[in-house]
Amino acid sequence: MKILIVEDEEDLLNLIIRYFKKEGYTCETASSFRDGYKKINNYDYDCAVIDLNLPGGDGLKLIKILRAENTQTGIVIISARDTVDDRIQGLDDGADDYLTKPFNLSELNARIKAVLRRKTNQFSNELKFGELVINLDERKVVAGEEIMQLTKKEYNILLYLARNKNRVVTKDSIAEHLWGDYMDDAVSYDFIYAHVKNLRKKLSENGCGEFLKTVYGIGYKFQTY
Amino acid sequence: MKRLKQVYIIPILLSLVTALLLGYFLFPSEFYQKAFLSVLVPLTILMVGFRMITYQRIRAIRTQLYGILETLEEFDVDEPKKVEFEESPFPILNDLNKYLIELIDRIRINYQSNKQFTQNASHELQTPLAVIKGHIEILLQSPNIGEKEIESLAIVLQNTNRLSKLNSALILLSKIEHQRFSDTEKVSFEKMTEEVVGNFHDLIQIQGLEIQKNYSEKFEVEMSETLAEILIANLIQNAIRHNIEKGFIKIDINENRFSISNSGHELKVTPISLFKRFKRQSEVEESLGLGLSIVKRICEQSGMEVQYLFEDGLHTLTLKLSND
Repeated sequence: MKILIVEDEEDLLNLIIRYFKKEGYTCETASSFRDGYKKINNYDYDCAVIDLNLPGGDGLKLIKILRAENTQTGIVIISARDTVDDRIQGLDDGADDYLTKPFNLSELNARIKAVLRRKTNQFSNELKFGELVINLDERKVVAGEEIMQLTKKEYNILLYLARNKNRVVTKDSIAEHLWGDYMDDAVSYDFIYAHVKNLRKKLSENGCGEFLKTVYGIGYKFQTY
Repeated sequence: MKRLKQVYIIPILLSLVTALLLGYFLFPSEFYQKAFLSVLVPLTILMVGFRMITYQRIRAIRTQLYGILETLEEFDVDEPKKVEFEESPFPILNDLNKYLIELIDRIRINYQSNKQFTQNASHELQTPLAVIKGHIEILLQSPNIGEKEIESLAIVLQNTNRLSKLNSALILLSKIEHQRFSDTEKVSFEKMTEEVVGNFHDLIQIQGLEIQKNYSEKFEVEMSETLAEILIANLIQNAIRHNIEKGFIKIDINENRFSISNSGHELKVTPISLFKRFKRQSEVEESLGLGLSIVKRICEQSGMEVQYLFEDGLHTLTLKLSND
């Protein structure tokens, strides 16, 4: 998987690369419009993560150029602009997803995986972890032989954790993943706690309870080893 | 000095007339009769004329004062339009206009720099916050991190999140204040409420809250749809957060108002201060203290009024159109 990250904030850029190394992606970077333009012209990428406010030009223009040349590349916008109009504009110009800064790295990770799956054929429509199989097309979870009865929120939590497998996923990132910005910490933490409890119970009943780990005070982890 | 003379003229004339009248009645002689006719009559005419002139001048001043008032009423600190007053024949009004214009310019400069600061500060904070959050996330992934370190990280993370939420709330407030949501449409509060309540459904259930809805008529407001959603979400969140166990939330919508009530403990602060930034009931620690100021701001922006009432253990927030 080859990924291009166009972002002018060096700290943020390094952070993203460090996080994605573990996923086994090959990351290339650009920190200005010109840089990004050169890379797009010279190489093909599976996915491009593009900031909109770039020195030397608007990221949206970069997206248009990229989209005109290559329809296969997945594009995720990361931007501080957060109005509905900005989102619509970005998606209209050919982006596949839009993430508002400041975001959680686990959220970016999950979004990129979703985009990659939609865009390339290299990902199967199933996530397999031993006995546990998450079918992404049908939004179904099978444990052993049995189809698990999960609520929509439980499914979303499980998928989010599985996409960030073997990483600690914070509670607030789960809250934001499920509800966007509106949700308030205290109430949503209770809610996540209750849902993870149910989820764990259901997984245990099907012999897959060992996947879900709690990291006290921080969040949860989907552990596969 | 000019004004002083005007003030003294009337009493002087009045005492003169009184003296003549007194003389006329006390010593009815021809001299006084003549004096009376030749002095009093022209004097009366003079005084009536004088009054008429004064009256007209007062009227002219009044019209001009109303003009000034009107200009001041239309004055919007956020609009770059220059404030102008009509040139007046009265020097005192011209002075007033001059000072007002100076004052307005000063207010405008202060306001602009204040606005710029809030905007810049919040935006500049976003990237460092994102970097801090990201590094915490990376630290958490280290394989040999100890329990004590995780504990510290949890606290750092919690506070960073709080900071980050506070920052986004401030950015939102500043955006509302600077009318970044100017696209309006007719928003049905009934529909929007249903949508938002749907989002909060599981949460309401988990807290064991009962929700009562009573929609008797439509309540529609010409406003930004995004703001309407934020408004209602804030109100419902508020009603959930400040509720009691096994309590309830009641939503009433009728022709000219929307009200949301929830069971809860009595306030410890004055109702008015609830709408001010960072004022909050201390019990709920996670509250940012910005929710209701956001509500108030959105209402003002959309031509609505918001009122708070506490009665029989019931907190009620009512929204209605301002011109009702």
